[in-house]
Amino acid sequence: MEDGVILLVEDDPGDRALTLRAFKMNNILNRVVIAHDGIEAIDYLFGTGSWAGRERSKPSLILLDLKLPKLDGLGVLKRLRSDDRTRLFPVVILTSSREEEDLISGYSLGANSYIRKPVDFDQFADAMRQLGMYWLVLNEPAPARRGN
Amino acid sequence: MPWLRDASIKRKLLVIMMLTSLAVLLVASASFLSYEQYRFRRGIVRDLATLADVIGANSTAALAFGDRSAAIDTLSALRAEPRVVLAQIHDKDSRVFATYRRDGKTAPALSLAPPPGGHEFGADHLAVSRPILLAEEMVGSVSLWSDLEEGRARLRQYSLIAGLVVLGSGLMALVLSTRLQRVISLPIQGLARTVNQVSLEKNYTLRAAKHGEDETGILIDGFNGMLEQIQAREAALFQAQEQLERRVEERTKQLQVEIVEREQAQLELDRLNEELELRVQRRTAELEAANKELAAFSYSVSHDLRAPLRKIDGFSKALLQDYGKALDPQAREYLDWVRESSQQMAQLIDDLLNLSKITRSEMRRECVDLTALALAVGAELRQRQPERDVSLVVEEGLTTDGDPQLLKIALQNLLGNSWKFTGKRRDPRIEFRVLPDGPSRAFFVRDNGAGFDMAYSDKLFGPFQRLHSHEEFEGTGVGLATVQRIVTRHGGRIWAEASVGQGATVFFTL
Repeated sequence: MEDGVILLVEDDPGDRALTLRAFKMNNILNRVVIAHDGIEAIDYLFGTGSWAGRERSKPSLILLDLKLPKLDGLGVLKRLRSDDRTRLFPVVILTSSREEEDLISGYSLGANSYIRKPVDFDQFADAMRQLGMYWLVLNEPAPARRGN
Repeated sequence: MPWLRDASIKRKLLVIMMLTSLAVLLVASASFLSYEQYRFRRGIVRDLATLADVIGANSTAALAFGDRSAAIDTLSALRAEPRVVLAQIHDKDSRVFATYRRDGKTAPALSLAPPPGGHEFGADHLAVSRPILLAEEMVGSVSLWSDLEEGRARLRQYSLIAGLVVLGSGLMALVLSTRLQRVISLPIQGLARTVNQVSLEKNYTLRAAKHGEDETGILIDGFNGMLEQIQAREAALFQAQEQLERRVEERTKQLQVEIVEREQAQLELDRLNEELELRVQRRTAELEAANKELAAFSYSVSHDLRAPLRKIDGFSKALLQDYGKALDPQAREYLDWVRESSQQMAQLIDDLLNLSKITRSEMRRECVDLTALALAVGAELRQRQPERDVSLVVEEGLTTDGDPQLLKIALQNLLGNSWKFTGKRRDPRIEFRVLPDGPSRAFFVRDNGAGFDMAYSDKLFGPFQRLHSHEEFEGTGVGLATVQRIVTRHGGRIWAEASVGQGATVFFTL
């Protein structure tokens, strides 16, 4: 698996475009894999469904929206954390919601970070910049598990 | 007389009467006998003295002449007097002159010498002596001795008579007293019987028969009176008891009715309670459903309304960045307005969500140090705008009972408002204090900021109501609405005083 991939789980095309724009503006050049819903994210992570037999890379960062079709973000997180192969992947919840419940559930299920998307694009772009700086540059990822 | 103590009244009366009669009879008989004896003795002395005088008179001649036989003859006349057993005539020298002895009768011991002119009784005879006078001169004396046989015979006779009289009267007394004692004993016996019967049968209607108006009658009257009283009391007691029983019965019935009524009321109450319970459950379920709906709605608002805004802003920015050079300044300004509006709307959404959160969130009441809270909020404000020099005065020791998080939000809004509205003053000053008196403690936040026109004070606490333009002061107008909700949830009251340019004071109780 190739390192440095960002898995962006986002159903909204506009949000996807803005996020990619923010990455580009901040010179985050990692390859970005898009999952359009929760199931697709799971398929990518475990090589199932539409991603069965296709080549995948281990994601350096998973940006997870909460409100998703088919399987929501918390469901994805739960699957991720309950499997040894994906247990240690860094997951940042990136959502519009600031509901206390979502925060608590997210952290309880093992999210590494929780970021509320600001409406102001300048602020959003800045948040993406800091995010990339931290998780892709500063943070030392957990070593790959044997047999993975 | 102990033997008489336990005898019946009848016997007592009999004994008393018999003893009394006998005693009287005996005393009378004894007196009679004594008197009789006395009379007999006086009579015999007088008779013998007369006899001696007669003999003396008849013997004067014989004495004068010394004629003894004449004297003996004179004495012989005494044969007619059988009582006289011995007679002697003495001369003036007291020598025996003549002697007479009754036949068959031995002369008594002649030691008895009667005093001249006197008499003397012996054991069974009487001696009488009389002088013989001749021409006033005593010439001798006559002495007579008489036996007392007659007196004894009379005494025996009289004693016999007395004995018979005593016996007869005793019998008479017995008969009479046996009959007469009934006058006393019968009523008493009757009374005693009645007393016994009353005490045995407890029958207070009995009465003792009355026989007369004497003391027994009074006693019986008294006893009957007592019986009457007892009967009356018994009747009263019985009546009272019956009345009491009736009342107990009535009360018992009433109580039973009451118990039944209460049970019915209890049943009704239980039914109503159940109904109420059901209604409460239904309402609670409805409320829970509504709450869930509201929560879902809030979530939806929070998530879904913001997402398009973010895109509006983001793509406007993208337009400006990527095609800014192709747009004229007017178009760029429009795009700036689009961005500003979307951000404003995002703020409105956030404020709206906060407001609903304040209404929905659970209250936790505890002791809150308002002084410390206000100082902390002040520090936050200062940190956010370090360039401003605002004088914040917080009264010491302000504590209250309430939800610390909600109260913090309230103070954030109140102090934040003051902070904002004093922004154009050169000497900004904010106070947080409590009113010194009043029925409930009123806290207040006072500033010397822009203030407002009291004519619009009714709009002050409405959500999204603003008294200043965005050009003057920014804001969405939910701050005071939020504070009002918090104060209301604490059961308090909020009001404000202000004038334009003179600052504002917001009061609240909790």
